[in-house]
Amino acid sequence: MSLLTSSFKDYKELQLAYSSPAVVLGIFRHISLKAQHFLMIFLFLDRMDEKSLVKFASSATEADEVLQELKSLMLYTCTGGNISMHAEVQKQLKAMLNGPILCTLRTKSKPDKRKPTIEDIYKITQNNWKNLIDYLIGLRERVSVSILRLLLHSGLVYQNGQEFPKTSECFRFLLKPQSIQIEFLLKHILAASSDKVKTAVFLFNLSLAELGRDYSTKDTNRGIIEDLTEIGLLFKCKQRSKRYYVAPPVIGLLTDSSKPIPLTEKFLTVETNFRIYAYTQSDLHIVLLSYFLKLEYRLPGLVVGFLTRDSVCDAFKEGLNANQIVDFLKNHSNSVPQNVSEQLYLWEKERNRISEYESYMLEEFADISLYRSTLNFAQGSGAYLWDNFDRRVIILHKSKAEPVLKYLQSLDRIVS
Amino acid sequence: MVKKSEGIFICCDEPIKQYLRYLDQNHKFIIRDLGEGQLFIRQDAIKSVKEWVEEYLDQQTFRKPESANNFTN
Repeated sequence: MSLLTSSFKDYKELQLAYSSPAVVLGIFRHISLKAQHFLMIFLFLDRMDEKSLVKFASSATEADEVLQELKSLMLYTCTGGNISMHAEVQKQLKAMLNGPILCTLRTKSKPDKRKPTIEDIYKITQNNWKNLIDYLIGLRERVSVSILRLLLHSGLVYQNGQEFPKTSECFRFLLKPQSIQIEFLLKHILAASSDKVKTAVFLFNLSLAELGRDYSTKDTNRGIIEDLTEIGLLFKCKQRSKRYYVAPPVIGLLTDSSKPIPLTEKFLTVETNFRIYAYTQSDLHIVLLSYFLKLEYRLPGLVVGFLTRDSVCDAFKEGLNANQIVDFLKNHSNSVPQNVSEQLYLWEKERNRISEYESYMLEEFADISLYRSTLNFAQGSGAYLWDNFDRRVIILHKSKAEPVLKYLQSLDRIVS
Repeated sequence: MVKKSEGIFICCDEPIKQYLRYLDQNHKFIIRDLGEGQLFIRQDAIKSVKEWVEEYLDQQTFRKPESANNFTN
């Protein structure tokens, strides 16, 4: 799963994180079905032959892909043609067969005197999350310094003097469903934390937490709890409180097998004449629509706009692409007329009339054999971009050209 | 001896290429015309080239006049 693999560069850290059942479960649920299948088949074997794996896959390439996936996560290790499963993971998975795994977050021994109701937790955390989104769409002026640091780190905003303008990554972020947005932020919280193993174990355990149960802030990084509370992923009665509750969208996020279906309200009607009716009061929806629509009028509960070439091209300049716009329209309406989606793709294509590559041009080859050998060398090293035999021209990718240039230098056949 | 030059390799369709060749008469950015739809141009020129093409395409797109919107219902 991307959350872990991208954050742990060091295998030792990954090893340590595997001692937590929550992490193992989270990883297991997020690898491909085939890889899960492989892990389960060989769960009770200590060692097996690398070649025998092929029997359990539909083809040799598939077996190889699955093996690579498992190896990249250190779930399998290979020594001399023999494969063995990560001992700790094997132990944990066996234990999971016997019963559910429990959340290892620290709880308080005394019950909470001011216990909030589940509705309260739901309402307040949702509101805090909305504040974050409001900031990103420009409806709120400020967020706290540590949240700003998180947004900078995750590339949603950048610093320009005293200002923090949004990046094009931010536009794409806003169009995604909430579960993916949360996962994105958790990933960056993990990447920015100092003790990655501890943070990973904590985040995966949050996903196993029980709704409406209080957990103790002891033993956990205060800063992370503060951050998560501010963006509405955790709930605390008071700033100073030593207990926290976990917000509903976080529960099961990292450890549930079924990918949560994105919450989609079908509030859009897209007509074949490029007119869009949006039955919505939400500022977020209206701001998102205004990225690629020319808004015509706004009534209470209804916004009407047009997709025009100009409005869509403006969105392309902001870093959106036609696919993302079509996906957004499809997710929020019952159907998108084909002529509209085709036209969006055409407008995008029209903008990309030129493809450009940074490159070196080699020309004036004296003899054909040198031309041929250079061409072969370039194709072999991956630097080859284009060639024309009649003109005796070879174009090379600039970033990969070094070996080819060295080759020509070694033959002493290049003007440098 | 082989000659090496640095620049930007461009792939485009023929109409755009012809337009770039027309621009080149004034701005001199093409290093080598490589035949059908391929050009090799100066590295510093790419930004302006893209702007010019975008401008040109905007000019070539015809949209209905604003006032016509009133009659679209």
